[in-house]
Amino acid sequence: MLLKKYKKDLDFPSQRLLSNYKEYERVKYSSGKKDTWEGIMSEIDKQNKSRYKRIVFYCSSAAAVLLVILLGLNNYFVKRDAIIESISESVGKASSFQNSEGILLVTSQGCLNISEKSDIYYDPEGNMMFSRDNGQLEYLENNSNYPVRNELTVPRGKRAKVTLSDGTTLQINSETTVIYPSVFDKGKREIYVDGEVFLNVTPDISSPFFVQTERMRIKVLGTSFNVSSYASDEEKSVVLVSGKVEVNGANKQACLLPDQMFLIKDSTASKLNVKASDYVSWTQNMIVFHREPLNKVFHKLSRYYGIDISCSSNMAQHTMSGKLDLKEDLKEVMEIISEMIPVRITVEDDKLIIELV
Amino acid sequence: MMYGYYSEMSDSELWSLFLSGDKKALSYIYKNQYHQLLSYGIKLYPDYEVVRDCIQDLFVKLYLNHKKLSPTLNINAYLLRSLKNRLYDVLSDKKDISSLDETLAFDFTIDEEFFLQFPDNDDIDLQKKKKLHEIIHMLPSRQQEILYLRFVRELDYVEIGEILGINYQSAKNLLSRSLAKIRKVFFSDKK
Repeated sequence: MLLKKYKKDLDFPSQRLLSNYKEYERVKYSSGKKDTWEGIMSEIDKQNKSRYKRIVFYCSSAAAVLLVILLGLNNYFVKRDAIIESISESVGKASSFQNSEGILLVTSQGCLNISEKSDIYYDPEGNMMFSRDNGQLEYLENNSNYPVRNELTVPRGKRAKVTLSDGTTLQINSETTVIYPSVFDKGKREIYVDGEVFLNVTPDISSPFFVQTERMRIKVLGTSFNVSSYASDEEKSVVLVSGKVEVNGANKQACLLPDQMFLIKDSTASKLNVKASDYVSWTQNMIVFHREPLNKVFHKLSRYYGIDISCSSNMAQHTMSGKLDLKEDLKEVMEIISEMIPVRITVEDDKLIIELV
Repeated sequence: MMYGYYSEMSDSELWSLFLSGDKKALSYIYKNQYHQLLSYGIKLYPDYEVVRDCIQDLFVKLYLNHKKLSPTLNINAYLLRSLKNRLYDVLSDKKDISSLDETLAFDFTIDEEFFLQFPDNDDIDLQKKKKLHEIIHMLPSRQQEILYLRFVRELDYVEIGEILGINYQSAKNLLSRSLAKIRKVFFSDKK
């Protein structure tokens, strides 16, 4: 019997032998894990540094000359006007560096660049509307029978707004990736978040809404709340504005009521009473700080405006309270900050360096 | 953590994600492609160190030049072709260009180990497998290569053609010639 089958297969003898060989090779050549991705990355870093230095040198020579002269005249203390000038220069430069990193939507139908000003809208059938960078409005029909998976990536310095097929709205903050289907399956709605999102979930008792993050799972029955779960941030949080949610994370389960926060810090979860509006103020282009350490303030600004800000380690000892209007550009925000606290701001490459004076 | 999502993507999606600057996508590609590139490279030029250097170079270059690269439907085919070109470049510095094709002739040697992994083999079956391999190994190197690309790497004729530098029809002809020859030899001196 076996022989008979084999004879029949002999028409493709090579195929029979060689398809086994594929598996054999996979096992044999992946066992020597000598060449890791880390090795590649360190080589890339090496080459990147020399290349990046060159680019920055050419691009910033004009700005640098201006800056060096000012630094010389004022004995390392730059006048605020000049700082502001150079900040806006460097902001411009940074954005040209990051032009290729616009808002990007990857679906199984392809890759789309989406305008920063565009809202993304899905109707109940999963058809999508958005506008391109050149302002052209596009309509994308959902003609597949299986669920289409969408991955929206919002880079540093950008924000986006999405209405899902069930009417749920997402306001997506900078440096965030959200994964969601064009149409939800019956009986269950689920999205994945890495970063910060403010959600207003359409109630539907027959179909609970789940938000999955790296460390938390949130079950929703129609409500609005904020999720902050940046992989790079130590603290992950859920803040409830209205309704009711159930959060699982760090081996703890909690039900939140409005103005309560579920916080994961140092791998332990806790429930706190907060003023929820402070945590969602970014959706109105405001940030509210309550005795916030300065290093965190600048980290948030860096993310919001998409520019590197580095500050000295002693910043963490000082705090700032108040409301910052982020509708202004970074130049004006820094101006306000430099009026409130005694800092020195310098521009290096595409980076702001902030030191206490 | 995000790797799960990459695995659901098609090659063209994954590649365009990498072209758009997603570094994790390239590391995922590396993880999946490394052993395939190594095993192909070794058959072209049996020096582990050189091949490994070439693979590393290849990925460093991909990373640094991702804005200039073109889309692809089959990442494996794209990378096999790139690796081959890279080997040519590296070796042309060291060797005489006229002998390069010979230096990089594909050698489809299957090691003994491979045959031992079929525990339910009866002798006849094993003999047949070994004989088949001997026949393949006797073929001209280009025919060995096309068998490898078609049946081990499972590429289509267009992709094979791109790697071998021939068109679709020639690739098809070359493969059918190779198969015909195997069949002929296999049955002609059957004991």
